[in-house]
Amino acid sequence: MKNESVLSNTVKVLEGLGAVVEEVKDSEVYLRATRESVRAVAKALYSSGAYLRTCAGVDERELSGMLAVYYIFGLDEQGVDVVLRVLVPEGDPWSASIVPDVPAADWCELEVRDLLGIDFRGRLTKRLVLPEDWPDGVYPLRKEFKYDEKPSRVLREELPEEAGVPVGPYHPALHEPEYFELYVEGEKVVDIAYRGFHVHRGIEKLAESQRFTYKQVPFLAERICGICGFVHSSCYVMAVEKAAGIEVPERAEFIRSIVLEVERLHSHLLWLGVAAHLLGYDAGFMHAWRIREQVMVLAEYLTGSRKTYGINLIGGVRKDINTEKIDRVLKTITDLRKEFTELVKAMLAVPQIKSRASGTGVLTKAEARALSVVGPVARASGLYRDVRKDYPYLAYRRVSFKVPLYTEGDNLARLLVRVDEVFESIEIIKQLIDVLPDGSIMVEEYDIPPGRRAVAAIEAPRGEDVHFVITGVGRPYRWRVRAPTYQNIPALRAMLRGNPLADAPLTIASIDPCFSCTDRAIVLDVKSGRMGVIRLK
Amino acid sequence: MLYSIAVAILSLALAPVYDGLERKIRAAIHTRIGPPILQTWYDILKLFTKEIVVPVGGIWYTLVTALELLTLIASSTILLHISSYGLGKTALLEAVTFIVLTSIVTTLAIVRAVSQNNVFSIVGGFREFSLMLSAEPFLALSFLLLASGAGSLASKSIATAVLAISSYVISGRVPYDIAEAEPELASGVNIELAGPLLGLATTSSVLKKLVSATLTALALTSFVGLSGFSSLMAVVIATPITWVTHTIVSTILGRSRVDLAIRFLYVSLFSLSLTLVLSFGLGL
Amino acid sequence: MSIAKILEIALRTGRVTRRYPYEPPLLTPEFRGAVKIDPSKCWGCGACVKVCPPNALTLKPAGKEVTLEYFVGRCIFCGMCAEVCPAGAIEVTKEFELSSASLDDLKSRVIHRLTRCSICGSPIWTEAELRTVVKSSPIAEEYTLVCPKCRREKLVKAAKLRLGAGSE
Repeated sequence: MKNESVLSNTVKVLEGLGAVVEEVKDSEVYLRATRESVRAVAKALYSSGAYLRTCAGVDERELSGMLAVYYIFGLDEQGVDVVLRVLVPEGDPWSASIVPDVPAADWCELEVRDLLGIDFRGRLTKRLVLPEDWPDGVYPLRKEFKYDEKPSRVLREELPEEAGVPVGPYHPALHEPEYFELYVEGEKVVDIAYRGFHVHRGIEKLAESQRFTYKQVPFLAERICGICGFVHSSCYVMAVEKAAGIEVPERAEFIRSIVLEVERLHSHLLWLGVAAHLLGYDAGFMHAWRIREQVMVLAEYLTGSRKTYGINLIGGVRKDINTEKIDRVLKTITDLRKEFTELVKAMLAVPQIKSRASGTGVLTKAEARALSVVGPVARASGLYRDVRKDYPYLAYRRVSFKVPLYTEGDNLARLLVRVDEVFESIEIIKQLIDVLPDGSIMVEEYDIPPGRRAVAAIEAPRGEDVHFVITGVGRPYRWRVRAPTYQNIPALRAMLRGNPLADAPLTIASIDPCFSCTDRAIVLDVKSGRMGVIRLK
Repeated sequence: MLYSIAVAILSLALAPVYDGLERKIRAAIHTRIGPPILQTWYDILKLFTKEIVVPVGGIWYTLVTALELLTLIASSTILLHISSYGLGKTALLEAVTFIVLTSIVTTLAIVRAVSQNNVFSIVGGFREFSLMLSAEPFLALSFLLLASGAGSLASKSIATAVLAISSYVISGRVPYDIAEAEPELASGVNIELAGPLLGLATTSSVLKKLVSATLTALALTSFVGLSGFSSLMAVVIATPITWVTHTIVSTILGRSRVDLAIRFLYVSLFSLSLTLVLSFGLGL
Repeated sequence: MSIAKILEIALRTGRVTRRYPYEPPLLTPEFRGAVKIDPSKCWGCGACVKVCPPNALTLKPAGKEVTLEYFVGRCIFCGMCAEVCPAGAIEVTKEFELSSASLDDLKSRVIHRLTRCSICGSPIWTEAELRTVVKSSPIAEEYTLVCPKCRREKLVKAAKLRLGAGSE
């Protein structure tokens, strides 16, 4: 831990407000707070510089007899996670909300309320992730609910026709189903309403069910997202390895880091193409994806598959890198750098791209801090946050790289952050290959005792991805995934309000939304998404 | 006159082929193969074989769309007829007829867009209206001046520049395809069209490109001072060349935003037109 | 000028479209496609079934037989089954062009006969497993023809007799 004295001072302050230290691990501190005192504790923690990473609701009745809410904060300066645990009795399930002081907790508290039935006092609540026709009183994350149970639908009142420009869930400009209701005056957006979670697949619940074991969950995790799948599977295995105290061989960590950076390259090139397409510059789209193709072929050569690599297992990786693969990696990234530099120069020379991207969709530093945004969105608004630097993991301790920082907070800044990150990734891969250690790539024997907890985070191309695992017998007891887009979507409101309608598609795309990542808590039917119509089956 | 009609029919048949050529060239700039050259013809014909789906508005809507196309055909025929005389030797009546017909086409398109009950269509219609308002008046001014044959070489060059820019805008290409572009989230004048109706609208958009290319070709070849049949032939040969130029310009630029586009067009076209009128008035 | 740079890049690159399927697809040597199970090597042990994440491999007992069914429709081409198979019977191929008009084309089966316990008659293991075990460690065949439960009872009975705990 860096700077222990600052941390112990903070902990003393929190203890003074009623928190009790439960457990202190290498880079995690677990505190327990009562449901009345949690708001004051969270406020003190937040004002000491912590960012809220996520909160998770857990049905702990088999472990401690109560329901629990875990608030996971991160102290970037110290590189330490501070986890606040609040126990809530089943018979009287409520807790004080921390949202008035920590606005970033808005969505995750609503999700806990929907899925576990814990009420949060001191804030406005509404249904977030469950569809309207889900019956009351049925809480999917409680242990008695079977993962493939389908409760009967409850017909509710027809929703009134809203008067705005409906964007989604099916729209040519959007690649995944999401629903934005843009309220406009002429060509200016005055407010937006967002409704998502159309593609819940029940991944967290699925991993807890008999159907899955520890060994199979990495493959499930990889399919959370089609672009950053490897991040999710790495984060899951890292969390389990942290909880169980499994030491992964160094070579495996390096291989994971190399593949993670390769994934970052392909993701940013994909995004650049999409941004160009949204601005009408299809030539940029085609060329960016042509360049990206080499990265996909490289990924296939390294791991066996263009996407959903399937090389992560608890304890290491399945595929090794030999000299031919290393040569291929070096050749690809050298060609890539040359072509990418040319493409960026050509793209930024197009007057329409410069004029439409600069000064639009501004997110100020204060708004970004309040909402705890992550990834390029944060770095474009002046927040120096990068999980690879703040909470170093895998092989990132062994490489040196810059973290791009811009202060304008507009769409162009977010574009430039991603462009810079591509160049940095190329440097990181070169360094990783240089110092690649020998050795085995997998720990064959390991033991996972139940009842352990751990938090793991990885800097995905879109931002910080957090996984929280409580180990069970044979499979995780609870697995919470908080994808970066989940944290960034609430920032859209600030970015779109008061701005021209014509900027909306680029602004929405500039947070690099990945709705597959965002919606994945519990198994449900796919909603039709049509306003005011409840499908009768 | 007979020649003009024959050439008109040939040009109308060739327009989708030129569009196919445009798609091939765009594909080459994108480093891909692209569809076959006759693809636009295939698309239009395929649309006419689909079932007729009429949006809210019924037969009136269909009539407007069909009328738009017919007027466009008439407009391009007149333009070719004018080409057979040469731009400087055009009768005022024919030049004015061309302008009126083109304005009717634009008006019908906007009426069609805003008469729909669909918010995307309405927003697109308004965007189209604002865009056209910032290009068509200058188109009319420069065309009529060139058609009259008056003015020096300098003023004719300025008029040609204004004509070239404003005719590019009406061709509905990037950076000014704001009304039809669906990635714009709230645009889509064609959103309610399907089947044969969409076929009509697609043909209209291809013919708009033809008119745009022919206008520029006509203005450029008129500097050579041909007339009669040779003028017509020069225009027919120059049209695909200007079309290809339009293609390359549209591929290397991005889509403009509606307020930025209007601002740019007003500033540039207005200042050019002012120069034009001044030079005219001063007898240069 | 910079804005026309894209034309120069395009001219230099040519066309990158692959005329698949008139041209072979772009595959690297590491590509993982569908798996192929060699029926002559398979033991019917079920290790692959246990490890398969999407349940593409299933073991269906039916009376005297047990069927290992591989349904390509569910397969995620991870290759874990090939890694854990003790018999080395599963091979990862490069096949990915698997569409068919009939669902049955996507299912392949290996049917194993089960040996039965000579005492109680319940099914124990597959004949292939039995053959493999006997080949690697020669033991009395009677052991392999008796199910673990009956063998335990036999042992307890023999021990009781030996230690003189009386009959029954």
